[in-house]
Amino acid sequence: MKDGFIVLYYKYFDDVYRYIYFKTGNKWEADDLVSETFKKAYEKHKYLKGEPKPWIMSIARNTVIDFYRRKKNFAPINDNELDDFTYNYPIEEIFEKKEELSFLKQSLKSLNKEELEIVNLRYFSEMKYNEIGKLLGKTENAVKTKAMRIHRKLAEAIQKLMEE
Amino acid sequence: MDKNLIEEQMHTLKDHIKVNNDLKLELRASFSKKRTNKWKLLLVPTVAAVICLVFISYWASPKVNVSYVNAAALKILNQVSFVDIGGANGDVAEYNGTVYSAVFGQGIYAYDSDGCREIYKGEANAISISPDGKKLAFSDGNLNIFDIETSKKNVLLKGDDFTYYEQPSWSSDSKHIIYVKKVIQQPETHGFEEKESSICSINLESMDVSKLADGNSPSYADEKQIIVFERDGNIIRKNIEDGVEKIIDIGRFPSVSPDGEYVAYVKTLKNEKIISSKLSTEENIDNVWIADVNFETKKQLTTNFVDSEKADGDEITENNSDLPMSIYKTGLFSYYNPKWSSDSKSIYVLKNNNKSGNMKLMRISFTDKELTKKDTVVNFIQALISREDDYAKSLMENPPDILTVSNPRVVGYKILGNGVENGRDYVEAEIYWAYTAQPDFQMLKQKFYLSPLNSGYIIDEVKSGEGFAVGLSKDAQSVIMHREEKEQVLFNVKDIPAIYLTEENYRIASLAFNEERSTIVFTIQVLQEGAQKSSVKVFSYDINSMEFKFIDQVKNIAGKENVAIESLIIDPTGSYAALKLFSEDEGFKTSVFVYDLKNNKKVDIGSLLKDVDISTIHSKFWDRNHLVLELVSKEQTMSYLYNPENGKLKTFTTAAQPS
Repeated sequence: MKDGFIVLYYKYFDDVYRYIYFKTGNKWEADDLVSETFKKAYEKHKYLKGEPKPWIMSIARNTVIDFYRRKKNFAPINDNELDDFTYNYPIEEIFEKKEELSFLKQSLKSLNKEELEIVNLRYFSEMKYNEIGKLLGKTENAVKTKAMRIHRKLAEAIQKLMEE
Repeated sequence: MDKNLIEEQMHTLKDHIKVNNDLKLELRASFSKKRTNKWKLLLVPTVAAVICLVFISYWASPKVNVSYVNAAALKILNQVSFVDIGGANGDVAEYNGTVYSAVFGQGIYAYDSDGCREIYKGEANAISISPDGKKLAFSDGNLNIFDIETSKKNVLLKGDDFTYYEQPSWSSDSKHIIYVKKVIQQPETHGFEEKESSICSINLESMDVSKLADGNSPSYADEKQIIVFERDGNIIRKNIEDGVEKIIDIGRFPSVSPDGEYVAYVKTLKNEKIISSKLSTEENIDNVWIADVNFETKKQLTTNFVDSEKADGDEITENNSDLPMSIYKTGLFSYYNPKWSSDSKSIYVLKNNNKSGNMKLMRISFTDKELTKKDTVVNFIQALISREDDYAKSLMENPPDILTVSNPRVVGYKILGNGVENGRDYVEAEIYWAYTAQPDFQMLKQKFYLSPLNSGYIIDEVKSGEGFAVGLSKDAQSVIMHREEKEQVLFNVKDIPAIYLTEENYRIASLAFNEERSTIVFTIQVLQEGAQKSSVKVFSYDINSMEFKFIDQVKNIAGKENVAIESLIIDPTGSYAALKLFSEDEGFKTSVFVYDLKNNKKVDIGSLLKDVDISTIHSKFWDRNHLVLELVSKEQTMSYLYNPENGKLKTFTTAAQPS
């Protein structure tokens, strides 16, 4: 009934890669964490019962959280606090050096971490609002509302940049 | 900056984040060593010998109107997807126009003209409806019976950590349920192994259980004497009395029609190509098939294809590693769990778009009547609009790789007539296009040339004829028409009587034109500014009498203010206009209003679905005089047809008959 692992791998590699790279901002860490994500997925694939995309994205998200937990060598803290260590870099530097969309790239700085996570899942990992909701433990409508606020914030930031 | 533009640019921005393709190939190769061995095991040749049994004739039961013909002679009336269950997998059952779907990890839903209701919350991975339509058998590890009227669940067989009961199916006398008992064991290392997959039946009166075979996806074909199931990739028919098993075809998910005549299943065609000693490709294309339970004939129902767009992007032409590599390609669609309608005239099948990851519920309807040239063209246009590319391609001679574009999109069509040109049959139609959220409307006449094929027709060429476009001038001050390279101003924005437009800030947001009535229907978006809330004003303009008519101003929808318009589409006769509106206030409400332009009436479509929690509603296109709507409720997206003549909503579970 479900797709084989290799099909799943080709289907979601780019989405998983972009998600982790944008979250960590570091290519080397991203390479390691993407490998780790797919190795876990390979091991666990036979247990996959539901939707493959949210499943693999949740492995990716947990892999990044575990990574920060290990890296920072913390006393046990919750996942939300670990989220503070993500997106800690000059956001606009993640993108290839192209002139186009430069205002949009800069405008991303106006977003907080939760909003960046939604942007990452929605646009760079191509997830649907209901899937994002499930992953983040929110309702679909809550995610949509946040997405609207993000649009508004970005539009305002772009307007400011254009006026400068 | 426009929100739609931001949305669009954000998707583009994705491509500015570079993916490490070297890692992609290296990591893939690290899995391929193990996989190659596994493939060898999986590719043990299974030559399917189709052995014919003595022909036994089963007469169609009296309630079935389609007279019995063999599977190969069944004609496809239509193929249409109407429920989008997101990325989830599941199962489906139908009784008398009500479709029940089990969505993994969510529950069981019922879909009919009253809307979509969650009838059971909890795990449910396979369902089957009783022949009287009153009970559902479903599995969640246990085997359960759910009474639809009382919502009472009764556990028939209780599984545990190592025993699972799955895939129930009723006998036609409702006295037995056939199901699969799976026993797994956990090896010391990790994972699990399947120790047993038995097909059993339970007598619902005595609760006696008996084992009938080994395999999956069982159903009864003839009371309780013949069963059909899958084992090792073969569809098998077994006579319980003498124990003789015969292979019908290769395939998975067999399902026998309630009249016992046909078996529907999914068949995967493998096509292996050796590129070099270390590199090969393997195409695995799924399609839905039907066969006669008595082995007489079989027929392919869908026309799936390799997604060439995706294949090109991922094309690996050489393998520089030491390990042999096999590239696996699937079709654009995968199909799961075909199930028959209670009248044996349709199949419901889950269809996954492997590119978008969307799982839809598709209905394939049969007829024993001939489809006319006009029916064929109507089905083709519908399939193109709904992006049922697998069906559209099946109606075309030598179809191109890419069929449809998403913007502008088709919002309606009208069949003008048919004729013969240089000995070739054609059907002529007007196709209407519009850009979402832009005042731009186009019409193009198209001729669809057809040839007879297999007692039906196939489209071998489409030629475009004359057309026109109506939109805004560059300065946005006039509405203009382009036709045959000429431009004509239809009206100026300043001509709109001032009494209708007292606001400061507004713009023409959407429009549509009906040539027969010489009428433009358009909307003005009043923009939010200071104390002024955004709202939508609806007008029509008669280009002959040069008169404007104010139709309505929408200030709130579903109790929310700040209303904006996404699209305006009119039916081919110009009698009705459908507006998709949304509120920008917190909560993001959407509504579809249909205006009766002759009688100045409006209907809020959402209000027709009582007790349905609609999260969004969307007007897609006019299927001749019916509006096709899509709405999201309980995380499922489903389609409805609205008939403005009688004000009623219809589901896609009752198909139109050929004309």
